[in-house]
Amino acid sequence: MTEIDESVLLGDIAEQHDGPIDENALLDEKVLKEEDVDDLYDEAIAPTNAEEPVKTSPPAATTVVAPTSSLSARAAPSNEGRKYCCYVGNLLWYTTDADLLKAIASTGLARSQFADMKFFENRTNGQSKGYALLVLNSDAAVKQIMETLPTKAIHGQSPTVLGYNKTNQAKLEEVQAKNQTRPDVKKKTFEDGCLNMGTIRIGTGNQATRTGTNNTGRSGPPPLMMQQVRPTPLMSQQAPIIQNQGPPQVPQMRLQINGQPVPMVNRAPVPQQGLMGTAPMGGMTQPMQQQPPMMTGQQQVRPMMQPTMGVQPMMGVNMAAPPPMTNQFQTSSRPPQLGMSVQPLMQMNTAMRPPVNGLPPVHVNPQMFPGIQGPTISDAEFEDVMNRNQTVSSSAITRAMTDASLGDIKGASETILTAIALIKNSRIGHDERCRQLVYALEHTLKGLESKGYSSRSSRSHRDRSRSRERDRKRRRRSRTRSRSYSRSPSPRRRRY
Amino acid sequence: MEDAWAKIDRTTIPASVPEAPLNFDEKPPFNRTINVYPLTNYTFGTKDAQAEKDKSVPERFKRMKEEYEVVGMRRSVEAVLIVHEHSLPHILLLQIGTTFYKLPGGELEIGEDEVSGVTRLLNETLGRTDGESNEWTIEDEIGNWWRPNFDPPRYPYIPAHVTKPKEHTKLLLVQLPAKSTFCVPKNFKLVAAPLFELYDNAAAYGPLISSLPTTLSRFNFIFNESS
Repeated sequence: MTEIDESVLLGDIAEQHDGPIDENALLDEKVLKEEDVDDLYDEAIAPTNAEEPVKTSPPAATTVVAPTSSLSARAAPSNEGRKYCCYVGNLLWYTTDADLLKAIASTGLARSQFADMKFFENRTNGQSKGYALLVLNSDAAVKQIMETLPTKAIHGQSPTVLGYNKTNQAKLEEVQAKNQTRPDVKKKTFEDGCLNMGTIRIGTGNQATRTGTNNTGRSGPPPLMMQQVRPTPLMSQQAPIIQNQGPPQVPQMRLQINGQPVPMVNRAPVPQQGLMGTAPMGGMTQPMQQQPPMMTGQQQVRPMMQPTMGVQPMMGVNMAAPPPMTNQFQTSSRPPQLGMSVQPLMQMNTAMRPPVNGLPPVHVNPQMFPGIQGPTISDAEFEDVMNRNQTVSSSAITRAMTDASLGDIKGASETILTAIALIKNSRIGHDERCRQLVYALEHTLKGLESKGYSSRSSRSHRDRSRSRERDRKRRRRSRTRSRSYSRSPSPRRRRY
Repeated sequence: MEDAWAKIDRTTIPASVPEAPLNFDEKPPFNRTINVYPLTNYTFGTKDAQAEKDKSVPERFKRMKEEYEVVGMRRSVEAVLIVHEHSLPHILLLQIGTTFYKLPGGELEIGEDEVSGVTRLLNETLGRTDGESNEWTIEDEIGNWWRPNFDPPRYPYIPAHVTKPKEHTKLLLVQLPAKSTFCVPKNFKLVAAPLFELYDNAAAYGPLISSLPTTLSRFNFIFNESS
């Protein structure tokens, strides 16, 4: 789980997160090489390439230099590399790139004046937002398009051409919002992610590992989440023990598995949501603890630990399961790591067969052992406070990460410290789960400090556009936004 | 003639899978039956790490764009390998890092057909290293996904305004032999994700993988007992 891994992943991970269209993408990829201008990228909205400045050409002859002015300030070797942009709006969702190209061609614009175009799309479903960014090679071309393109109706609609600036884009965005069949994805970093309940880790070493990595966006309502089993002495940290209602543990578990109509724990709502989205990755994966095997006398089950980023399934909520079944996991049976907790891995007997061909055995983790059922539902008050503490913890981490990503390490640390104090001083501050929260917070703090939390360095091997998306998203988020159902996890989860 | 525009006749795509050969006549069986075996029938070893072709996301899309300009749309395949536990299908996924999962597969070579391509890629990624060969039975094409731009989103259709998608990914269902051995590159972990874990869980697995339970529901999976 190196940083490299993370960035490698981003390639596809990125598919899962949303963000506004990145105009840079359509322009010379040279932009990507310009590693040293982070800040510009974060701010610049104009497409550009490394060598040449980009100028915007609003309708009026006044050439407004957009936020890229700092780039523009650099001398342009020639005019040829300059890109001039404008927006083309009032397109139907089914107006194709070819339609637009055809219309542009019909205006008499020289082919050589056309550089590129990029449709703005709803990231959720790929639907066109009905406007596109047109990239041309001269200011004159932009003017020509502004004058002539609106006369070339496409599917009976007259395209509107707007100057390249934020206001116009906002206008187009507003228009499209009314026409969208589905809301564009707006990300809530807070609630997404999900637990990989039931995922079987196929071990390649002698350490089978679980994938308790993500928390899910479809988490249950807070009250439900709180129906966790209260920690009991049995569930002490050192030995994650599956508490079974019945006497013999393992066999019984199997029986129950087979016997229950819906015995499996589904993705569990995780009280510590948001941790996932924000926990720093690289540094946090280290301090996992190997736990001594427990249940030694109980055949076939042994805890397998793995450093994961995952928040522990505090309880499995099975959609179909009757309420009592929802409390399947002993929270406190897990080591106190939030956002990177270690998970006991059950190894099933089937998986314990001897290595074949000298290869290690398959390790199986059917983690939904219902062995721990019969939740002693804790009193409401306890859960209430616990709930609050969890919220405090997760939002603190979220906020700290945001701050840290903006360079405000100090602010981030303070946020964490405040949260730690709040939790410690709460009435149940001594509780095991509270200590877990505190542990996670402290760990985050350590990560912040030790890693120096250089957002810049972490960015350096990531897609610029994504940084920008994130920034924009953040901006947007602060503006309005109800929580739309998010189909994708936070990209931020992987960022740190 | 640099200043001449290419002639554009039709401005829309002609088919939902534009490059596929047309096949109106061949009728598939009304339903399909697939044998699946317990996870424990398979053994797993490791092999040397296999580096990604691209070091970073920007590089990945940069290369995609560069290649697009030369050879056109990228074609890739991804394989769906299924085992079962407790008579519930589990899909084998490669886990990279802690939170990223992908199906085994990759880019096709120019001119390479999907079946030989996916076989080659599976051998590279999961094939054994002891000299024996693996048996991969490519059963069915179970989906097509497109990337409209040089950026992350992929959809199981070509959006209406797009005529030139940048990548086409074909999903192929692979039937595994009753027993086999796989070798997993050290930089990956192989996990078997139960369908309930994937279902409606795009947040964790992305839209493609989370749609597999739906996609696979048309098959009748025979849950063979452990041998």
